[in-house]
Amino acid sequence: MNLLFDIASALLPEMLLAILIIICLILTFSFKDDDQNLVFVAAITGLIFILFSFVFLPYSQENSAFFGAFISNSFTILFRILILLGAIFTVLLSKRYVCNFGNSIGEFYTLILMATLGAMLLTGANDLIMLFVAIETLSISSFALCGYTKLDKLSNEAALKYLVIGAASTAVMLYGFSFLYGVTGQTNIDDIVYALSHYEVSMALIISFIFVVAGFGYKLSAVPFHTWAPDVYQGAPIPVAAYLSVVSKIAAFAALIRFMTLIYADISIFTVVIAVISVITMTAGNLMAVGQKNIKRLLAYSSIAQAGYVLLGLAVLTTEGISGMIFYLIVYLFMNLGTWAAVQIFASQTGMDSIDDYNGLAHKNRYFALCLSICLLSLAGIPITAGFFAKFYLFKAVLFAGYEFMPLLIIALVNTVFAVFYYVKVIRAMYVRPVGKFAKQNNEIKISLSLQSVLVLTVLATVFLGIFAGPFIDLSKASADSLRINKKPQIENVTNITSCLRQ
Amino acid sequence: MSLILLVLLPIIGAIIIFGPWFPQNEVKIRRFAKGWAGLVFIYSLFFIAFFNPSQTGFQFENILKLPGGKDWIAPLGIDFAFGVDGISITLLVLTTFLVLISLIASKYSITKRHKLYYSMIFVLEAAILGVFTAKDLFLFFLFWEIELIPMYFLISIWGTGRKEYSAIKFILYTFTGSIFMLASILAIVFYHYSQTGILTFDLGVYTAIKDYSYPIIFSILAFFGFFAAFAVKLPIVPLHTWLPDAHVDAPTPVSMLLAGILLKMGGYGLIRMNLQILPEAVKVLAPMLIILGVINIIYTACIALVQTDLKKLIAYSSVSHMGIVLVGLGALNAAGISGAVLQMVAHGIISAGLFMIVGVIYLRTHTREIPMLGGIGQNAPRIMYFSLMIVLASLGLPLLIGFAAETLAFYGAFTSYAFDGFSAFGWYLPVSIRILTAVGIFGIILTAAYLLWMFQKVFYGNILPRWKNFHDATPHEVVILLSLILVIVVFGFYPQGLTGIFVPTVNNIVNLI
Amino acid sequence: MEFFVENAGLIALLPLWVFLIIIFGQNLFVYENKKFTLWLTISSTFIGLICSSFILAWTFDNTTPYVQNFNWLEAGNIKLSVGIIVDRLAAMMLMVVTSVSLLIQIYSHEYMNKDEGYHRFFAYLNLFNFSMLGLVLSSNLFQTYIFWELVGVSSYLLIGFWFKRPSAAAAATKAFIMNRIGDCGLLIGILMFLYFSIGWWASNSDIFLSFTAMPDAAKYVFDSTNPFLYTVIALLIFLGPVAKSAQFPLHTWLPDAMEGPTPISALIHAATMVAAGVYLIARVYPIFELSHDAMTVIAWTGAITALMAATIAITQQDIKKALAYSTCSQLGFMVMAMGAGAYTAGLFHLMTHAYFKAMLFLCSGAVIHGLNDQQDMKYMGGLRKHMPAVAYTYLIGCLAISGIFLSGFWSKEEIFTGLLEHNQIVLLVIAMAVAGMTAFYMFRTYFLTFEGEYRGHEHPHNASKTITLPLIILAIPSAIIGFALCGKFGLPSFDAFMRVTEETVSHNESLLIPAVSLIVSLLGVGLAMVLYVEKYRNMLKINLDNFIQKIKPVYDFSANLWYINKTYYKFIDYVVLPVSEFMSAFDKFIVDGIVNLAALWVHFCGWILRLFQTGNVQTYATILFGGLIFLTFVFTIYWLL
Repeated sequence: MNLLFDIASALLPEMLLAILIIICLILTFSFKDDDQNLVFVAAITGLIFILFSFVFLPYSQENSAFFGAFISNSFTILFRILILLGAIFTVLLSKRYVCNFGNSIGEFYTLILMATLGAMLLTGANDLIMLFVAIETLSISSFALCGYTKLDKLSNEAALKYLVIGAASTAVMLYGFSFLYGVTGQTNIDDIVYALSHYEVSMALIISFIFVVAGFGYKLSAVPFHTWAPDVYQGAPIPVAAYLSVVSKIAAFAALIRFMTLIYADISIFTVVIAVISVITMTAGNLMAVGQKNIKRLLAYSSIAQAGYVLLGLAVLTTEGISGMIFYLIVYLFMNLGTWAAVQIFASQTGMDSIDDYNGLAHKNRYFALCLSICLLSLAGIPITAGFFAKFYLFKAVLFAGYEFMPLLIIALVNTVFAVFYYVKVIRAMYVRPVGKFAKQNNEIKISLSLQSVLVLTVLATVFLGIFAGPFIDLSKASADSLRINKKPQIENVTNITSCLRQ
Repeated sequence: MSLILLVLLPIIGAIIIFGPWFPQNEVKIRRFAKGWAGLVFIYSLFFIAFFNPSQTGFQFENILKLPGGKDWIAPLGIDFAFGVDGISITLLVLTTFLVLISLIASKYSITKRHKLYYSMIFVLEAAILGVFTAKDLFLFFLFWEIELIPMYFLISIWGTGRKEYSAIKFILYTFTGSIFMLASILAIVFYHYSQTGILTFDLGVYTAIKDYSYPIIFSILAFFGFFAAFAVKLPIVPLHTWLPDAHVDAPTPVSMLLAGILLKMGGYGLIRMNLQILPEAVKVLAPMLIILGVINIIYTACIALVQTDLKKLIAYSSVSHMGIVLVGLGALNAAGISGAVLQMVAHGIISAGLFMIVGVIYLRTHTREIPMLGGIGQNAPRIMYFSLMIVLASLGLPLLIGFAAETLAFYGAFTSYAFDGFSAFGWYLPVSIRILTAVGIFGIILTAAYLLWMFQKVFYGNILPRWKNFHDATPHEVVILLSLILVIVVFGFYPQGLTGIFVPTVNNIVNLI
Repeated sequence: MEFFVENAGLIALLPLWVFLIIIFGQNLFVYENKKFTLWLTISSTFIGLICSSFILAWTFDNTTPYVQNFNWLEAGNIKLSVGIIVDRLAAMMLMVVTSVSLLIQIYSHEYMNKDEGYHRFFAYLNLFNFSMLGLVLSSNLFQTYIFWELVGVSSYLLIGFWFKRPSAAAAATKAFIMNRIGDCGLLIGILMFLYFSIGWWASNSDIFLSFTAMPDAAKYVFDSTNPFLYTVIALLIFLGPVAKSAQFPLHTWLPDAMEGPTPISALIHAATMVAAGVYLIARVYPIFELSHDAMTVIAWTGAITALMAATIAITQQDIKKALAYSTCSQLGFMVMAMGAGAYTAGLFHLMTHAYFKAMLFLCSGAVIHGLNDQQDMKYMGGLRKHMPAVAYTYLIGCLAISGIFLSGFWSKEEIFTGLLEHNQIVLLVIAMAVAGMTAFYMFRTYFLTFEGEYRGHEHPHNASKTITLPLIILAIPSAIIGFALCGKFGLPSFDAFMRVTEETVSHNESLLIPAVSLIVSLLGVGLAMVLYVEKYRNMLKINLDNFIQKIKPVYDFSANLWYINKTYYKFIDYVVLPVSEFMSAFDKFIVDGIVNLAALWVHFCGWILRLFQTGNVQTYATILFGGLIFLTFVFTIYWLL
């Protein structure tokens, strides 16, 4: 009983989520395909309920479950909340969408919940085995989700690609783990850290480092491990694409941050590797997006680029950098989901997804166009949206890590210029261009309540975060502080690093 | 008397117009917009009425705190702080005035999507006011970027010709410039932080005399960071090519705003950031400023000499006039800088007038090609005399507003001791700079040439049969042009009225340098 | 008396008010009553005349000038002010300007009566009066520059008065731009002078560039700079007068300016504005005096102008053009005198010239009016019978300008003596020659116009009272003023009155100079008589056309205005515009091209990168593993190093 209580103090939401999954499964089996909306209701209510369950978790101190295989502290709690929010939005998004495909709806929600469970476990995983299991839970349910609309060729293709590339990169990651295990003979991260502190940094460690980065890079769709992203985003059901580009990315980032800062922070080339990858990622992502005609692929490339920006924070490896990443991810959740929601709405009305189809949308529905524009501007980082502030804070963190990061900053800034170009292209289509194919048909855009709520909530959040960023920065600072960056200060100006190892 | 209210008023207006509650009726929208702009203008007049020139530093400072008395973004030391000094309040009133004028001018040239248009104009106004009144580096940058969005819409939706190309060109140019400004802002803030351990974006801290000084290389780099942004905006050759496109393709009221106010943001930034924050660098780079300024004046004046498109001609003339601002700033003495500021105001009024004239002609003839026009003066004497006044002001006729500015700027550059200190270059740097300044003065010949040739070809001579029914100025246009000309004449006769406001501030800046 | 002096500014301000009244009256409530405009204008000028005569009287017994200043613009170490200065020079100019313009306004009422732009014309006239009087009263060089440009503008407006005529429009623009060249030089000169003397002004005088302190300031600058630089400054300042009073390189605008209504040619382009250049030279004489080279340049510019203009005037067919070139040449005389050091002589000639040249122009105007705008002398002749009053006044004018006993004789005589005193023998010879030519071409115009029999078509009708009255009034000063102020035979001496420095140059009272000049002029008259009066021509069996054929090259050279105009146009067409075209192309294709190229480059890179998104998994896997291996390799190496 006592043990259970201990676990619950760390894992309560996950436990509840597991229960919810079972409930959903039962519901799915016990109802016929066409009236499975009950599953939707259950999922939503359940998720919201779980969201509230976080209040029972001790926020300030750190407790572990499964003998230190899972850590729950303010950092992981924040990320799990984000993931849950993402999941809720995704479920809301998919409501109308999945109805259009004959097959069972219940499974869909169940799969989303499973993926979410995996994602939440991923954030706090403190053991290589745990980490792997979590990743697989997330990935496998995502594969299934991608191919969910089985009548759609693109969707199947997407699923297959995702699966193959995923399998490959997971293998790479495992290989990296094995090196790590080989060096230290431990699987628990704390033990590994403790062990590493006694060895010199060896070639094996370097290789494992790069492999692990590659493994995560696949989830973050960091170049050159990004190749699956455009096709999958285009092919997969839009809610799934949204889910992949937001939730699984955030989860992967959480794991990446913890893993890197704890284990590899001492490697001399850490900064260089991450910086190079982030630069390649953002540049390639932006450049490829510039000429893009299809909005889904555009968003895919944009999310690649965004991942590149976020990696900057990790590259400089300061607490502020990390908190910059966290804040960016908070904002990213809302602005990206908002954009996907808009795309989803448009697609559900018209089934078109080329940018030219958006021509003259502003004439059709002013407020819808406005919402989409706000999200896009936020992605582009133009005030007074949250995206602008997130970028600003991240870049500030980058520079404040030392003047030697100025080139990095400049590159990132130049990238934002490319970004502006292609985001504005969509806005131009909506506002400037003469009325296009879709807008000519005079059917009014009917937005279902669930979609509406997603769009409005995300847009409001985007604007609100842009104006009142202060508290949230404090929040992300706090959760970054709870993280133990295992790094002996090498560069000047690295501010308040907590470099004490737990003995 | 709250600056925050002043900045927010246009936003409120925009929301009121854009919202579903406001009727779609065009006339109602325009009437409300004009009324609201007038309100803002009058409110801004109060500021100048209660402004105390002799007092140094920022005035009407007010800082918006979050509930609970925290700063806006406390963890980054960013305040929602506003304040004005002599220079910014001058430009402030110029802004509200020109926005009002251009709204009145919108009647004929804006024919579609009025809600969006007028709300965008108000957003633009808010952004510009924000730039001029921001007392916080971050806030300055924020407003600097906000201004892009409405400008993009205004050019690309209501423009003519290759409007989309011009609009996106404008955005990308400005944005590219501004990212370097951001880098510089972060750099100096970080430097301050590493020196004093205090993280703040408060402009007052950086413009005041600091108890440390930047390493020269650092400050030069930071200088160029800021300079990139402002050089694009001002604009400075060779970063000016967005301007002719944007001006030509924008609708008349927007061109008025673009030339009248937006270019001034560049000059204002140069004074505020480069001169006040980085005096060390400025002392070194003053000659560069003057050289660039002279290039601006002569090069673009020559180009304007052969333009056949009215708007292009005037656009290039704006660049040329902005060169005078640059020359004045490069002087680094009170005369030069106040000349530059005065020139900014003067050019704001004059170029707005010139673009208005072009709009008036275009409205009637639907062409801007000078060879296609001719002899218009016969049918439209009013328009001819108004434009004559404005043209003369633009070529710097004494007792009109442009003259005092040019004289001050050139005199300042001429008598400047800023670059006498270059022992490295020996005696001939100062001398060659002065010769350059003299060359710059030749610009007034070219200006006279292209403006008067333009005027002669458009208004003089026998009227072409195809313009037989070219009608004279409507009351609307008369009101607009008269009010502009009134300003031109009044401050032309009595420039002290303007200089009195900002010269003390300028003196402070000079003392700082 | 003091009252008038202290409020001398009103003389200038009255016309401004009248100008505003007419403008607003015309635009707000359109009144048709021409009398109203006329009386407003005339009365304002008349009051001005009265005041200025009082002021003149005041200056007889006050040698120290009266100065009054208001702060106009102040920034940093520069303090610019506007104000008035009343001294003998100013008073003299005031008299000339107000008197001449009063008469011309009366004249214009008739002349412009038919024109629909009557009110506009008078408004412009007042604007000009304002700027001209302001220029005369300017208390400092900077203010002079202000009004310097304003007179330029009012002349621009008046030349382009009939802007429907393309030629008039072009002439107006040309005039303004050429004047702008001069103004530009003047401005640079002022700024340089100010720059070198700023310290002195700051410490010694609260009015920057004020004329009263000019001598000391000039000395200060002269001492603090090297002579070359000082000469440059002086010549830059001189560039202003060169443009304004149509001296050699920049004179071509004046003949074109004859496109304006004739009263304007009389007032602005003969009597007052073009003389402003000479006036400015007189004002800043202290600056020039110090630099010998500058003085030489000035003198020679004047001489060249006088000679060139005279030679050109000989062949002009258009009566106004002929008069214009004679104006040009007379101005050359004045400038030459100034440059040679005969300061007062120049001013004296300025005054006399103002009167008789104004009258000559008005006469020509009367003729042109009488022949319904016929300006070509080919179609005139024998008009003495139709309009005797005009003819005789014109004759008086001719005698005056040719220096045969009437006022011109005395002023020229002074110039000659001045040249001789400063032993500028070459200049003296040139001057003499020019005097001869002057007599020749003036009488040529007289004979062609008024003698012989009428060659025109439409019937010439006599001028009305309002036109002849001003002529007759003007004839009086043209005739006697020279003699009245010659300073001989116990008459008052203009020279003594004007002389700034009290040292008196010993006049050589020899009759040589006057005699020679008289003979030369008479020769000129005689030649004109022989060539252009049928009677004598037939008597001597001279065929004019053959004669011209004989001297064809010379004739053409003169008839083509020394090819100066053509050269300028060629310069603009083949140098200025091509260069600008090139720059504009450069701007469009190179400067802007680079920008667009950059954008294109970004697109291109994106396209290249997207090529890898083939869509088949093999490629993707390859990229993934390739990238992985590459990264591993590179970073491991990097780590090892």
